[in-house]
Amino acid sequence: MGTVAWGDLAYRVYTTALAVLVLTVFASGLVGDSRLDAEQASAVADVGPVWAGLMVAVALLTGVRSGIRSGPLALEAADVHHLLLAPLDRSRMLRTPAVSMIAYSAAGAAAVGGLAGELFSQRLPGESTAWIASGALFGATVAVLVLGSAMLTASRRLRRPIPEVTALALLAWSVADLFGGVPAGPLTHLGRIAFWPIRFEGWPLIGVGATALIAVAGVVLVGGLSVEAARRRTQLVGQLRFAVTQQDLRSVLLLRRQLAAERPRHRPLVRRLPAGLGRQLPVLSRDLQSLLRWPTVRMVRVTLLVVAAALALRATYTGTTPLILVAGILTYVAALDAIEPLAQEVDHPTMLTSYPRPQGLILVHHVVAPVLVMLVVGGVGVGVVAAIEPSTDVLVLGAITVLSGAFGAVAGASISVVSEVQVGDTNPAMFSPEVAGPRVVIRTLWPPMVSVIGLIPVLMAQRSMRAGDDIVRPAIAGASIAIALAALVFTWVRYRADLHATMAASMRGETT
Amino acid sequence: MSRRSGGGSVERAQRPAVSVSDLVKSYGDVVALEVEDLEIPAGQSVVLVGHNGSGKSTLLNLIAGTLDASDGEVKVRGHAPDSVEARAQRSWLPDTPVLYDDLSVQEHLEYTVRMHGGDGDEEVIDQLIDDLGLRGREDDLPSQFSRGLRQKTAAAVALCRPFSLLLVDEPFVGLDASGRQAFLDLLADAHEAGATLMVATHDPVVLDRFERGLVLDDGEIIHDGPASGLSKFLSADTAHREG
Repeated sequence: MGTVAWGDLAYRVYTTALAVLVLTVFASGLVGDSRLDAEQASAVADVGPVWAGLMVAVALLTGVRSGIRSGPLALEAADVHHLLLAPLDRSRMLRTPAVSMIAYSAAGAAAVGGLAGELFSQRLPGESTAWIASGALFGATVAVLVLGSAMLTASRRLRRPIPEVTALALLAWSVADLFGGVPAGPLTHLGRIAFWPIRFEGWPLIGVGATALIAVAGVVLVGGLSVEAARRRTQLVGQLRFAVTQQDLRSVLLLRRQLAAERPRHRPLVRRLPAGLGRQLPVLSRDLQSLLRWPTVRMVRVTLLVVAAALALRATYTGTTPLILVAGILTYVAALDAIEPLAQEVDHPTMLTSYPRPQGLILVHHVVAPVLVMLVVGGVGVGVVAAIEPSTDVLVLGAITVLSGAFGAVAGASISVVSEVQVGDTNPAMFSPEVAGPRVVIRTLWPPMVSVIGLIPVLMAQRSMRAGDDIVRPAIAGASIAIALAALVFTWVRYRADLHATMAASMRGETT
Repeated sequence: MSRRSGGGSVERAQRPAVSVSDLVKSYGDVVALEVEDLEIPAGQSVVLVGHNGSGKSTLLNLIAGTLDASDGEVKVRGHAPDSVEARAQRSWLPDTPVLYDDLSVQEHLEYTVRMHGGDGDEEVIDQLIDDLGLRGREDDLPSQFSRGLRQKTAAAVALCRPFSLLLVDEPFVGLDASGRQAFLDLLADAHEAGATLMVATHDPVVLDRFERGLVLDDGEIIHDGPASGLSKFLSADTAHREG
């Protein structure tokens, strides 16, 4: 933990910047459909900072929650055991990794902010360089604020409810800003930085200064963290890193939940489901019981992800086409939560193989409840968009997209979860690099891609709208394609094990 | 026929509960289990003993269908171990409790019973909760239980469904005295109702509760006879481990 590895840091920043550069070039080529006029740009300057501030508020709350559990630092187990228990100044020892983490995260966030700025410059007035610079400053400031607040919380210098209450109050203020009638909150002011090229105001710089102070306080005081929480964190973070290297998304999800102390509700929201449902549809009944135990944080997360996807789709429809990728990834991540009952069944093969029913049939029955969840939260997303822009088109296109999007997202998540199961004697570790490489790429990209395809009605409606044609018919055609693809995926889930068994038998020269 | 013994009497009379022939399980060059011929008649209670790594768990896992044989054949009531028919007959309680993270004890039992064609509100669920000392914890999540309570829950899940063959691996690990006694009583009830039992254990005290004993060593069955005479093998096992 001795010194900041500036060379390593520079290399990581360089690789991140390179990746962002490639993304920028790719995304810039896709945008640039329609530039906004002065009046529309002014409306963006009014509303944009509020949404940016709300995003910062959510990130800040996440950071504070991480700090409560001794995050965001992830130390090695040996460092906790030998160094934190040694008679040395902990703050001094932890200063180096703390600074490294903030510096790298700030650089990464600046790169992402710069990319967003470049995308904004395609449709909004102002120089591209100004948009990139303001986006980068905003991104870096948010990263430093979130990590600094997390470290300050972890230091336990602020008594327990103070950090959460402050973060929640700021979030409430940002939400209130959305509806107007209150003075703009501090995070809304911070959000103005991202929109400087169309409306410059100097005093959000005060927020930048305050952020720097919070970060310095966090770095100086971080030695006050709880050793118990740090020990628990080291074990989980080690497993998490390994899971990431193995592209084991399910383990990543489970470990992240443990890291966030996200446990099922001790008592379900509804104590008993109708017995008739359990008798007729035992798998659906079991899955609904599981969903009724969702902790509040998971409900909020899934809803926010889908609402953010709905807003991204609205922007897609109005001209920023690449945001359909963002929306698809957001619904995919939400569906990974919604598909928990299927994942539980896959995680416990001993239970699955004990039931006297075809395994594929049990698995495919598990997709019903997640589709219902995605339909419900999708409805919330459409409601939010309709509240912002009340129109029949929004409701009709929203209803079509919710249907196909729910199927697409759950199909994508099903591929991810079910393909974790090794069938037959296939051992991925034995594949040659030529086979293993493309396999990893396909396994990583295909599930979110299926989710993106679920949102294709918006893209088809956008094309028709531009041509001045009816939007409903092409949207329904797009939804039909997406639902047909989802049906194929569910058929694969149903027969995957049987197909592998048949193939294995034929390779052994057996006949069935 | 009790709920906990699902096999029909005609079938039981005709087919052995388990039959094994020329069975081999190997990992690369290492042979973990090699059994030439073994038949467990329906309704018999069998105890498996042997030192760690002797092959007890491997044999049970092969019969349970959770391991694939490298060679040879296992049949459960004449069916392949991973067939739906075998799964309907066999209940498997592994040495490590396997439980969902998102269901309570009661929900585990209801789901398991329903997946085996029951209604989910059977008297047997209430009875098992009482017998295993889980009353008051039935609405809690076993994922947050201690090892012993998880073991009791797993035992309840294994016993709540219909079966004619019960496979149990190291059932007493983590159980307190009352839990252990309750589980032994439940095993006796299941046997009395006609179920075949195969139990792997290191516990010498329970041996005389079984009719037949199999001793495994280095993946082979080295003794097959009445369970009452197995204590000497467990003593040797202790000496083996201490040596």
